[in-house]
Amino acid sequence: MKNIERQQIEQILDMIMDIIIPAGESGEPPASGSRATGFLRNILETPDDTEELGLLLLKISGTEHLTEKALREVESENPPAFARLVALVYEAYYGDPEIVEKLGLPGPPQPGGHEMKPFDTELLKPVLSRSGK
Amino acid sequence: MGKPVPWGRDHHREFSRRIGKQATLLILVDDLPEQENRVVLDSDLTDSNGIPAPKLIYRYSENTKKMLDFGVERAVELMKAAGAEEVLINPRIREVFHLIGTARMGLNRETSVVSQWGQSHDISNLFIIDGSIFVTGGAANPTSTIQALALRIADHIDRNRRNILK
Ligand SMILES: Cc1cc2nc3c(=O)[nH]c(=O)nc-3n(C[C@H](O)[C@H](O)[C@H](O)COP(=O)(O)OP(=O)(O)OC[C@H]3O[C@@H](n4cnc5c(N)ncnc54)[C@H](O)[C@@H]3O)c2cc1C
Repeated sequence: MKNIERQQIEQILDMIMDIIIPAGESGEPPASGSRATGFLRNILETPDDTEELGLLLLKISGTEHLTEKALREVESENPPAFARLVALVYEAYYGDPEIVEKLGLPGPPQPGGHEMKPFDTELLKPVLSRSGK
Repeated sequence: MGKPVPWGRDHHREFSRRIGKQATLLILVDDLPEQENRVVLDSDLTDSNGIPAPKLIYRYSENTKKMLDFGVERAVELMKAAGAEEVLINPRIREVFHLIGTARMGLNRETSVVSQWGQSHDISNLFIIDGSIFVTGGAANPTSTIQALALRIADHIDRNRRNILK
């Protein structure tokens, strides 16, 4: 990502993310307001295997009018790299608790855990009887 | 696995159509032991002490492929009966290995290592009680069965200790 400035990266990321996940008709927030920007930037700053993603962003940054159509063209040139970018945006967006709340989705069961019935200690009787307890 | 939710204008519509309305079925089958599926010592690869590395030789048998196909067909039936609008099949066979069956039990000392009680055919006071005495892979994870075998064989040793250790 040497050739693009940090601020520029964030602007481009925001634009790309809002095309990948735009605001929805039922009030769904667009991806750019979420934690996704920081998440993606961090990924781009980790040295391992992000070269392809960096090249992809570089390519997108050179696109004059960044529209869904333009992105689909970039996608068609390298579907696996683009699929990775999309997966990262999804991961960042749906991994943001505020977004999950705004979308009205059930959150992850942890750390509270699933509700469980009390343990039936009768089940252990045959095992305990082996040790004479 | 499956089909990703499309990105772009239709993303939210398709996401809300699918969220909370999906189910995944995984087909597990009992992959029977085959003579040619085996673990050998690698002729080239060694560890830092020069000890040959184990090498897995494995391919799916026709029987296993047929069982998987059968399972997929039943899974599709089940999904449709449950009212599925769309059923996606992941055609990739995914390997899940458990390291078992290298000292299989049996009555014939030519084709097995231990008896049905985990007792070595060759050394009477040696018992093997772990995943290695499985005769087939079983269609599911092995630990509960290993534990059940441990309890069963320990009871057997306890009951027969005078004879076994003679
Ligand atoms: C990542 C992973 C996930 C798994 N998940 C599941 C699951 O969800 N459900 C399930 O049922 N099964 C699962 N399994 C499989 C299950 O854990 C094993 O099949 C089971 O633990 C095997 O039990 P065992 O007694 O045969 O061997 P092990 O548990 O491997 O016991 C062998 C013991 O022998 C010791 N040992 C080895 N060499 C010597 C030596 N020379 N001298 C003395 N001691 C020695 C080892 O240190 C070890 O303690 C999983 C396995 C793995 C690796």
